[in-house]
Amino acid sequence: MIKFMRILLFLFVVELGFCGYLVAKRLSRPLPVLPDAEFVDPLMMADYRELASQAEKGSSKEWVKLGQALLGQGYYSYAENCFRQAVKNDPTDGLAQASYAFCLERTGRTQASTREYEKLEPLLGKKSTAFANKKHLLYATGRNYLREENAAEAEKKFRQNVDFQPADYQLAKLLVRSGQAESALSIIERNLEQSPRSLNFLALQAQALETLGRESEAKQAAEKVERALEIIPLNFNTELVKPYSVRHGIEKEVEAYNHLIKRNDMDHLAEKLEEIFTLLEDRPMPQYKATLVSMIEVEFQRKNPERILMLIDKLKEHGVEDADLLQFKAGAYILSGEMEKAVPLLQRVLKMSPTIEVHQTLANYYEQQNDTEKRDYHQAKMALLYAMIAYRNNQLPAAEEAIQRAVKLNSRDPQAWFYYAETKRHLGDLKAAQTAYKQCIELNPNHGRALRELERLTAGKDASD
Amino acid sequence: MSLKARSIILICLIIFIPIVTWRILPGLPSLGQPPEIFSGGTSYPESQLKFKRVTVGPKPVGLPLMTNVQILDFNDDGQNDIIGCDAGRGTVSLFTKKGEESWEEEVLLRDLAAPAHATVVDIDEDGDQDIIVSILGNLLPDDRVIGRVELYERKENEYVRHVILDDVRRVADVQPGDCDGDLDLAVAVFGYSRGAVLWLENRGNLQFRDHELLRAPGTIHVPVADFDGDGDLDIAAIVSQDEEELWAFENLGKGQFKKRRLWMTINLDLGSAGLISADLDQDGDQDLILPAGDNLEDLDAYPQPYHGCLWFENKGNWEFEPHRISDLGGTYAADVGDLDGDGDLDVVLVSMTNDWYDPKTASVVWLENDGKQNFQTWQIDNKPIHLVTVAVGDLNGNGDGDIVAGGLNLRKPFQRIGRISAWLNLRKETP
Repeated sequence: MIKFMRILLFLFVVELGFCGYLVAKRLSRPLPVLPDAEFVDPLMMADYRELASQAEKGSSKEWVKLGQALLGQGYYSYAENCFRQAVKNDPTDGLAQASYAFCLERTGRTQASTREYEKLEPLLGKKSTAFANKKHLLYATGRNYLREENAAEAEKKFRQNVDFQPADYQLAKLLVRSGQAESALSIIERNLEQSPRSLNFLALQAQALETLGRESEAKQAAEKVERALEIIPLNFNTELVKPYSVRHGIEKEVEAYNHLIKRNDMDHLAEKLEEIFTLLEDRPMPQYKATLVSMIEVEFQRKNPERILMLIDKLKEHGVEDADLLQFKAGAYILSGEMEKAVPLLQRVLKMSPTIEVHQTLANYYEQQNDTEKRDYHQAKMALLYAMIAYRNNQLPAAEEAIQRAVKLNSRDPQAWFYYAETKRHLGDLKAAQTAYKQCIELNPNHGRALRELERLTAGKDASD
Repeated sequence: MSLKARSIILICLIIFIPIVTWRILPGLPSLGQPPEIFSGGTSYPESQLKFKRVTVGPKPVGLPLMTNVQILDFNDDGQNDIIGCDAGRGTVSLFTKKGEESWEEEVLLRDLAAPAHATVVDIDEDGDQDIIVSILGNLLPDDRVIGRVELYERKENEYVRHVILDDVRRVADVQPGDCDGDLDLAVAVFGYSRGAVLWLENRGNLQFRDHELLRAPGTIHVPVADFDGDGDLDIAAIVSQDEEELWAFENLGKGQFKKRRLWMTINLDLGSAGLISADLDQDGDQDLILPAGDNLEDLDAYPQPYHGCLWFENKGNWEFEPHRISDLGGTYAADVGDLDGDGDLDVVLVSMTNDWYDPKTASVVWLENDGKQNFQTWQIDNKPIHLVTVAVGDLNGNGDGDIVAGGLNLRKPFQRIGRISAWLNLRKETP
């Protein structure tokens, strides 16, 4: 019996100790801190409370989830607290560590941020996502040194990150700005071999060449900048934060709507938008405008002009009056067969934000009215806009075809002649270019760019590529 | 107590302790102190010079997107008015005083695609005020060729629209100045990844010829002044985005300009947000004042330690010495005026992105000049927030500098929202 008593006593002590430990642990657990409810959208706050309660009981993962939810809405300091706790719970959690360093960076504590980024080195994998590999880490620390105006350390970090284009760009830029343009050029040219139409490297090349006094080559590089479309990402913040921003609150509902769009079921989309609109409750948020605009688009597909006009009035009450709104209104009148009301609205849209679509609508209208002059005017503008897009996308043959159409339809437009000349010049037809610049100048004697290019061509200084 | 009874008690305890623990554990509060949450926001001592905040025009609805406010006597009646550009509504409005503390809005121009700035000037020198509008085409980042300069020629009671510059990227500012014997225009093409500084040569009959002075993305403002004191007007420009460079274009005469980079920083996140010229130290030459605090490239902006205001003291011979005169987080605009009536020029700053989750942080401050360009920062207000444009001038005709500011409500929190607000200087009413 005594032996049994001893066993019971032993069990009691162990149990008491263990339960005491659990109670003590529970009493001393870290608390997640949430932003004041006054500053948070109510839908978001409900999600935060739920996540906070999970984090309070949970492990590193729950703290990371809460941190990401806060980070997604820009509550950097609150998110920082969560990621710090997550790292404390699990020091091998690279995502938590990177996010912690990121929060320090975004709140201006660059030195502390750099120290935390550097701790990541042994934890990093080979993922290509933002802040999840060594290249991003080195780049982030390099940028921190730039913010501290510590050129030497920044250069060191970028040099350790060879072949990562954003780092190469920053290094080359540092070199150009510190009078080492010649050294920068070798980095720039290496990257241009890889990405010949890189806007960033072409612009930097133009700067470097100008610094070195190589004017003609600088001009050539600058010309290419105008038709360069490839942009190297130099800031990965949005890439990191964006996915978190759509996980909770009203953004989650908007994201759900975006997924529904693929189904193309307009009634279902209208229902979902109505649901979102009810959730918004007239709160002044950008989603209010965005939801109303989506509702108008859906009603357009449902061919419901009365409702479109009602929704436009709501947008106006919200202080929105722009070209899109005018175009929607015109669309409603087109749906209800009131072209005479739509046309003046479309003409106002063209004054504000000319588009191929609006010119097309007006061209079709004037075609029906047998007004060939106005039809040709709008068709010429359509062709010009198409040519301008193709030109800037460096699709010169497509640009040439469109611009020829534009000048044929309306030979009184100096802008069309300018793009005709530009396209011809880049295609190597200098004679045609020269004639077209002259046409442009005849119609607009103050067209500065045409005057400059004509002067260059006349002097035999063509800079086309 | 018998051994048996003790055993029974122990057995009961052994059974109940885990059950009780399991039951009460979730409900136990944490006795730990919540960690302190960092705030990088800036706040300052309350201004001893008192101001009264009033709303200009109608009450704000939705999320107003004001891009520019100015104080000037538009209708030449001897009383200052307010001109405001509203990118949300696509308008330029005139606000005239009606009563002690209220202003009536009259929309002067509409159907403008995101106007960034309105320059009121008699460009055709016919004795009335024309308006030149810098058209962004889109308020949000956009590198397409969607900018314009639109000139609205005053004719009797209407404005006649002339597009004087087209086929350019987003235009952020136009400033007039006589560079060659008539009123020409300096133009800041902000663009996004590509931008420029242009000079529009006045060729008469509202015709202008464009000349390129610099290619640089994110050119915001182009103040025109005689920076080198040689009697002709020069142009300055601030280039933002990742460049952060201050440029000047020295007028050499006959339409020729020499470009000079006055200053730069490798801090790609400085966030230059504007540029004004003023003789801040009143030594007879034009200095430059640079508010810095834009970080709209992030989904959610945050004040940074390098934000604030730089005064570039003109030392002559194209040397400008930078002095950091404020650390206001998210500083977006600056203007100067003698607020305290002591004869020197003070500076007013507004913030777009202070730490708005800390309600103490400042949205409007003034920097009191002690006469030797030592500045003491005083907080005027903490609301409305998201302010991007400010002007100083006498609004109520009492001779003191009042303040007007406009809000661009693009970012969270969507609270303490304003469209145009004024702070009336109560210096003469304070005993």
